[in-house]
Amino acid sequence: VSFDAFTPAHRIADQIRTGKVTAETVTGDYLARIATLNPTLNAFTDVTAGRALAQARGIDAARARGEALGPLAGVPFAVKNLFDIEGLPTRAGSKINRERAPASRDGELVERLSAAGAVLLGGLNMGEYAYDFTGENAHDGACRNPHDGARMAGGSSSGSGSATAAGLAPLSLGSDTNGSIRVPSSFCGVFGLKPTYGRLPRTRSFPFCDSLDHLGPFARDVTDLALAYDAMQGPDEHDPACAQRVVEPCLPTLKDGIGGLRIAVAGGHFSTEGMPDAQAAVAAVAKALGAGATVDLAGAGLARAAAFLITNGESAAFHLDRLRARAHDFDPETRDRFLAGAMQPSAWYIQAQRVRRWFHDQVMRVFEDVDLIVAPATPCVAPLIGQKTLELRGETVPLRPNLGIFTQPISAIGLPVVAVPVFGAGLPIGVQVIAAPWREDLCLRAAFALEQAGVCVARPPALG
Amino acid sequence: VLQFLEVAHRMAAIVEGAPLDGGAFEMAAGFRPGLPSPETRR
Repeated sequence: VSFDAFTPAHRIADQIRTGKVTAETVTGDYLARIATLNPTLNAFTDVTAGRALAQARGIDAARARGEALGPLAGVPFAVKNLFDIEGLPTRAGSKINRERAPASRDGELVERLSAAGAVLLGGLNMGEYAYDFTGENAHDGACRNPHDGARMAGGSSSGSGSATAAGLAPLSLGSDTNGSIRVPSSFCGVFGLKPTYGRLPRTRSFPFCDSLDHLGPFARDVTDLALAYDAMQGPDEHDPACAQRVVEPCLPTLKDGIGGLRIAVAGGHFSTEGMPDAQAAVAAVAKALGAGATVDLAGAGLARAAAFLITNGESAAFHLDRLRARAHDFDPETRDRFLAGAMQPSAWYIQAQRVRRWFHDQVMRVFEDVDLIVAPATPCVAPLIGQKTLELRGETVPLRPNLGIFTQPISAIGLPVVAVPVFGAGLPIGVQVIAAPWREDLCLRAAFALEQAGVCVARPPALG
Repeated sequence: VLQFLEVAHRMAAIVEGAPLDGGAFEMAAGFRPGLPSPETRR
């Protein structure tokens, strides 16, 4: 392998554009790295080597002909296996979906990145049907954390976090319903963007909970995150939840700094008292951003409960036929939650949706006085694979639902968030940088400033 | 399953206690972050 796997995506594109390296060499080197490291990490479930090499050769040929190349020309990427990949069944982390017909076309966001020149390397491991914060999967095996193979990668976009952190791809895509981009970003020490609900189309991706599902990118570099995000923006008539907004590019303002921005730390529900790693990370980010004030997002606990009920109700209804006919083929960790969701009274779901709107209106008032809010992404660093409980504020609680305690209230009302990595003495942990709806540009500006200041840097793991 | 139903029951009790405006009834279909609740549906 001759190419540095931790080269940022935008530099890879530059090097290919200027002829310093060919797209075929870059793709071949990443495929070789996947072949070496994936048996340990279990991040990829499908590798699309033939397609990737063919596309890379096509990019090299286009360059040789003097054609203009896209902004991501030759940049490898991979996607959570709930995105359609032409020719593969969209498994969404499940056993049952493997019997589906192969997808006839790529997911919309895969097509948009490919149109910008990015080269798809394959599909990534995930928690079954995205109902997961751990990265464990009964069918495909646990995805491992590159910083410590005994630990969780986080979920449900486990392969996206692990592959990006390990240098198996400089960019990846995941989904986030309750925290599934932000939790693996936190545990694996990379940047993750969960855009505003309705910003990026979900067309030709497998759903989890329609009224909370978001898609977004992972990267080790903030410029790369913005580059990928900009390439994926734009309306799409096939996703009814997709806002028909014009592209609002973030790259042009990425380096504008944080001067003049009013930044505060979330208190109350988001207090990190008794969580030393999360507390230190939030303090480091707050200090670097000059966030002295604290704001209370009153009702965050209500919003979390609402997100729980909405997720259970919608996802159970979506999977009802599969639960009736194939319950034994589900991962036991997800099946029982879906079954419980199928028995929820509809009044609970309706009340939860009303609470969601109420909390949204409360938080919109907070944004009259602040531009960005800093909050922890997870209460702890990556737990050990197989761990079932968590010490939270002096109490022993079930691990799985509580990994999303800080992410759920934010996605419940669709706010844009960049999860930024902080490395203390040991494992990484993430911090959420949250903005008002449609202000992804502010989240990315702050993340870029934190990266430049050396406070938030995606450190390469010590791998073979 | 019963354990998860018990958790859901606790969550339902939490959301039941929300200080909602009894006249407001907007749900997900019209949900768009950043926009106020539509007055026409109150």
